[in-house]
This record gives sequence, C-alpha cells and structure tokens, in this order.
Amino acid sequence: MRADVRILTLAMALGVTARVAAQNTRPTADPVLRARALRSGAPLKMFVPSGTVQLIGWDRDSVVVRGRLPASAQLLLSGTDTAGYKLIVDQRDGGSMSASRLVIYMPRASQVALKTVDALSNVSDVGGWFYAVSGSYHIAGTMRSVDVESMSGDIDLDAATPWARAKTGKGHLVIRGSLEDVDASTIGGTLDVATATILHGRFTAVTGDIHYAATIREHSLFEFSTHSGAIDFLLPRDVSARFELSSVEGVIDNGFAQLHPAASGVHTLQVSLGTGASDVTVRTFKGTVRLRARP
Amino acid sequence: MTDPRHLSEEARHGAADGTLDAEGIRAAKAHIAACESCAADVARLNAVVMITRADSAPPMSQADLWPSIQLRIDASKVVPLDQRAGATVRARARRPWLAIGSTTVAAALVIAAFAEMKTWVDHAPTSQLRQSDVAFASAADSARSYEDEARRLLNEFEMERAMMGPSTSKSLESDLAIIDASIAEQKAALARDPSSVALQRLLASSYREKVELLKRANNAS
Repeated sequence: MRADVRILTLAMALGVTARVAAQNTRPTADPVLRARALRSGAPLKMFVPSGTVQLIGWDRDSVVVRGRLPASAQLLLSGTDTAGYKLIVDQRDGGSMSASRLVIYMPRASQVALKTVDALSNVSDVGGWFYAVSGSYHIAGTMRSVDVESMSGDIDLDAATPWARAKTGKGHLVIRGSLEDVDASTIGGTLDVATATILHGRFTAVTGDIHYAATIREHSLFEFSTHSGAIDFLLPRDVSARFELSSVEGVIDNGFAQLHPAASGVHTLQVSLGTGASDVTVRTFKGTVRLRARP
Repeated sequence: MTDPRHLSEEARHGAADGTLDAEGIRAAKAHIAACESCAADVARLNAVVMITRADSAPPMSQADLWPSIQLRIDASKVVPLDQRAGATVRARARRPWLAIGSTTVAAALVIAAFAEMKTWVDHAPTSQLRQSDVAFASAADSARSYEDEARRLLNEFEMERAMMGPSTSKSLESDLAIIDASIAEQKAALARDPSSVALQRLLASSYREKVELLKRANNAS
C-alpha cells in the first residue's frame, strides 16, 4: 500500500474511533451498583475481566459505579475513602467470565489501576495504569500520566498528558491528542502517531509498521526503531528537523528529493530540513524508511 | 451485601484478604463458623485474588517446567554443571597456601595493570577518544543489560506460564518468537560487522522489547 493511501486509511480510522468514543461517552441510565465517598487523590484499583468499562473523572469526592452485571457475577468493593478502594467483578460460580457493563465515576485527581482480560475500556480524564490481555483501550481527556498495555488488543491514546507510555503486542496503537513525553511500542501491530505536541518521543516496533503524520515540534527529540517494519513520515514542507536515518538491509526513500543530504551511504542518510531545530533518529534492520512531504 | 444476617461485603473481603482488625477477624470467624453461605463466600474470595485466568488450563508441574529453565541456565553458563564444582572446592581446601599465593599474585597483577592503564589515560588526549567508540560501548552495554534482564524475566515467565490461560500463553510465545527471530538476525549481522553501532543499538532495542514483553507477561498471570 502506498504511503499516502496508508495515511488516508489512518485518518479514516481515527474518525471512526472518535465516533465510537463519542457514542460510548453518552450518559448511562443503568442503575447505581455502588456509591462511596473517595478522597480526591486516593487510588482506585479495579479488575473487570470482560464486557465494557467506561471510566470518567469528575470533580466530586466520590466514586459511583453504575451498570449491569450478569446474574453469575457480583461486584466486590472494599477499602476506605482515604486509602482508596479495590473493585472486582467476580464470577460467583468461578466459571468462565461473562460480560459486564460498567460506568464508573471517580475523582479526576485519583490514579486508577485497571486490569481487564478482554473488556473494551473507555477512559476519560483519569490517569494511571491500564492493562488488558486481549481487551482494548480508548483513553481521552486530561490526566497527569498514562501507562497503558494490552497484550493483543488495540490502544487509542487521545489524551492531554505530560507523560505517556503505551505498549501492545499485536494490536493497533494510535497516539494522538496533546502529549509531551511518549514511549510507545508494538511487536507486530501498526503504530500510528498523529500529534505535533511531542517533545520527547520513543517509538518502537519489531515487525509492525510505524506511521508518523504530523509536524515536528521545535527543540524536540525523537527516536524511531523497527526490525522489519516500515517507518513512514508524512511531514509538512516547512518542517524543521535534523534526520539521521539508517537501515541495515532496507531501503531509505527520501521524498524531500530537492534537498541534498549532509552525508549519505548505501543505507544511511543524514538530512537537515529547515533550521534543523529538532533531532529525529530512525533505525531499522530491514524495514523501509520513507520521508515524504505533505502535498 | 446489606442483609444483616450475613457478613457485610467489606467484612467478607477483609476476612478473605486478612485486612480486618483483630476485633473484626474475631467477629468474622465467629460468624463464618455458624454461617455456611458466608464461609463458602469467604473461601471463594481467597481464590478471587488469582482470578485473572481466562480459561482453566491444567497447571504445569514443577517437573514440566524445570527442563526448559535448566536448559536456559546451562546455555548462559561459562562452566557447565557437570564439571564437579564440589571437587574443585575440596582440592582448594586441601592446599590453602596455593589459594593465598594465587590471590596475592592476582592482586599484584591487577594493581600493576591499573597503574599502567592510568598512565595510558593520562597520556592520551581526550580528543583522541573516538565518539563512535563511546557510542558503540554504550550500545553494547545497554544490549548486555537488557539481555541479562530478559534472561531473568524469562525464567520467571516459565513459572508464571502455569497460571496463564492457553490462549494468553500461546499469544506470548508467538510474540517472543518474533522478537527472538529479530535478535537472531541482528546477532548474525553483528557477527559479520562487529563494529556497527547501528546494529548494537538495534540489538539493545530488541532486547528492551523482550524485557517489556516479559514484564507484560508477568502481569497477565
């Protein structure tokens, strides 16, 4: 697939994801399952194996759990308002997991640790640690930090945060929103980066492709690395950065062809665009590196 | 639970994870002794802590796990297990003068070598230290550190795998195989071009990915 077609696909995928996210953030009329006082800043630790979880940060000192559980499951909530709570969706019979549907409101200053198996999770305005085995995450809003991992599910990180870390095994990983320090990696999934706010970014894949479609912020520092995945850049013509591109066995395709590289070898290319105010290092073993200008 | 005939939700949970105070424990124990329903629920809650497994694969026995761990340990060893380390220790114990003498000589050699090395450094202009050499050494150190950490986590993973569902375990093994294949290709390329900084950095990056994956794997169990 050509790089511009891929970027178009990325844009369409982002649109679809945004619509799904908007649908998921509609208020729920489900009954209140639990409601407790929770000091703002106190943590919430949760295990919701299956179904859907919507986690919403609010400006109240309380946690409210709405939703519906299958007859075979029960909701366990223990802890105190100062030490925080632990919330578990448990199968009464210890059998296979059935899907629950939960909407959880909690103080936006509290940190959450959410672990799921195959649940679809939608998080807004709450930071913390998020983990899934095969479930996926959509994380939006403003938060202090995000650390999200899924073994094989998708992650869409569309948040405003100074620090973010996102890891997938085979899932599709999308980085957008307003982030500053980002460490994102995937093994075999595709990694799409579509934000121009990053100051320090490290993006890694093994066999997956990496697409970067945004301008590069001034005085930023980037590192991209793959083993066999392609690394595509779609940049505005006025971008200002110094690129150091190297591929051991792959091809480097420079779309800014009118510019003369500062140094060039069979598989290396150093090129300065604009005033070269930022540093971008790209390494791949046998992936293709493409540097293209946005029309 | 709001039914006054039974332990509250918090009390049951506290009894299961041991977070109740002494009075709470006494009350909970008294109730559990008389209430079959709460006793069953608390017993089951004890197991809830470990409920992350998606499907109930039969747990592997220690005997099943050990061979692969043993292989990995042996592969990373300089001296194989069958060299009778015990015999060496006994021989050394019979000749303490030999041990003392060899230690003294070794210490003298180290001091001499250090003094000589200091002279080299003093005389070598800093500008002569090639930047690429420093970058290579740094990348090689990084790769080694991640490799060691990956080996340690891999041994943990062998133990944790028994707690995972088969689909999770299979997915992890597939991801590990992808990373290991990339590491093998990079190592082969390094053998052909041992001074390549780019290759060393790629290798370090691959080992880092392996470490991250194994950490995620331990969370999955």
